Amino acid sequence: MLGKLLKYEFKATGRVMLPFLGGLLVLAVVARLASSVIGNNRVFDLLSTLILMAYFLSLVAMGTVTVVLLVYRFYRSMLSDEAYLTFMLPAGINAQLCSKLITAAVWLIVAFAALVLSLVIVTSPFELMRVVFSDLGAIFERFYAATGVSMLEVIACILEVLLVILLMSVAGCLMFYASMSLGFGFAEHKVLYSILIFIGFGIVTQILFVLLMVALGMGLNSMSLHAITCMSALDIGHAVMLSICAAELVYCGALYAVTALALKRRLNLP
Amino acid sequence: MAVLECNGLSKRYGSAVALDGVALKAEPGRLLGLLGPNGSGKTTLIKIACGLLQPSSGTVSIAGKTPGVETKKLVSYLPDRMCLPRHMSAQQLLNMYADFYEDFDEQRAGELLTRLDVRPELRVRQMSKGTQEKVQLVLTMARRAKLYLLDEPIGGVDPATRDFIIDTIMNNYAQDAAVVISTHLISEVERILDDVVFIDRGRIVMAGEADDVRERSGKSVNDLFREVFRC
Repeated sequence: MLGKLLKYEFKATGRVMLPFLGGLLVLAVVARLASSVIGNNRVFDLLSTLILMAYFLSLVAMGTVTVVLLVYRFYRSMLSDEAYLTFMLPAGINAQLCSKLITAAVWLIVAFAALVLSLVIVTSPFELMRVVFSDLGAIFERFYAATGVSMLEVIACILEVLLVILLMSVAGCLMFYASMSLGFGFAEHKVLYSILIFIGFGIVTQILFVLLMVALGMGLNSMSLHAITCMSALDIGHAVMLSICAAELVYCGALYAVTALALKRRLNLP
Repeated sequence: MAVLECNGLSKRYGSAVALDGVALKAEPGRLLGLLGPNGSGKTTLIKIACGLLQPSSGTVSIAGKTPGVETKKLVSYLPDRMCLPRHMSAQQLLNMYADFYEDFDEQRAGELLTRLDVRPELRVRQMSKGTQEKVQLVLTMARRAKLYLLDEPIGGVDPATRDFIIDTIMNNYAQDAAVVISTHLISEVERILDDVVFIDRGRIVMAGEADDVRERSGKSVNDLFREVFRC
């Protein structure tokens, strides 16, 4: 059932996301071409500058558009009139929620990839990339010789950072989902309640983040100086990143449980 | 065994009582009219039977099961509003229903849409309000369900569309299924009802076979409804 839900979820979101991301890449190509003619003619200069500005504005808008689309999709299919169809499908709340979350996570990854790709197109650092990739082995060997950090360690660090960003994005989506699911359970002022609950979740998130940082600091503080010097900076970095990942997972789990419970117990369709 | 059975069913929203100790049964092969004025609790009762609302107390069972994923395979529900995604075409909707419901008769649905002159590529947002309602009804009735819950199927449509809707209901429900039609437009549906339940302010005020009700009162169900619910 989850597979079928995902199929229709991707179709519904893809009809907006694909043209938008495609448009971003096309704009990146146009911006690249435009930047190559700057300095030839004043009219071209003005036009090129405007195109580059449009590209950078679309970069800024991309994150917002992605999140707004994902949140709007949740609202449309789970809390508005369409929800009558959604909730009459022979699928449980968990399958419904997972389909929304998986779709959101995939689109966030695709949007990030499109952003990176568009930056590569616009800046066209192909010569630099060619040099870097052709000498990648040598670069890592020298880096390892200087710092003792292997290529695998570097890749692990990058993956950890990306995982933290992805989990934070998913947690952000879940915050919207949980707020709306709770807010729309009220008979009146549903949007107002949703906003207030969202602000509440935001405050709780900040407090929990500060507490996590304090806990991590205290954890390091309690370790003996000998233990810290034996641990490399990289090990400490891994420990911190994995702790943040674990905390994010727990937080996502809590928000998921709140959303599922609200949709199951307090659903109050218009 | 009754397809739909409610016992002592109550629903409260804070201090407001939407349903108060409702008990009813819908038997297979029969059309039950859930009749009451606006705000009498008809929609609340149907939403609870669909699992879209949780009752405050009492029980509901559909073919002996509590509303949940399993009963959604047995229940075909027509809500009192347009719930089809506006971006989807008629053909996409048929495919979607066929994907999710094993009992969906795609060929039958296609024939009904052809009779309605609905082109497969036509999107919901391109359809008139009447056509949207007809398409929604066709999708609901093309299932071989055990229980059809139709909430105000003829509310807000023109008389010609009402005839189409009533004919579609009569000619398409599975014969071993129970049909519950909620409405306050009694005269339009009286001729097809086997059983009637009058509901007011969350309570059942009268229930029985339509013929018995007519015989006992010496009035049509429509006239009796006007008498019972006179303001």
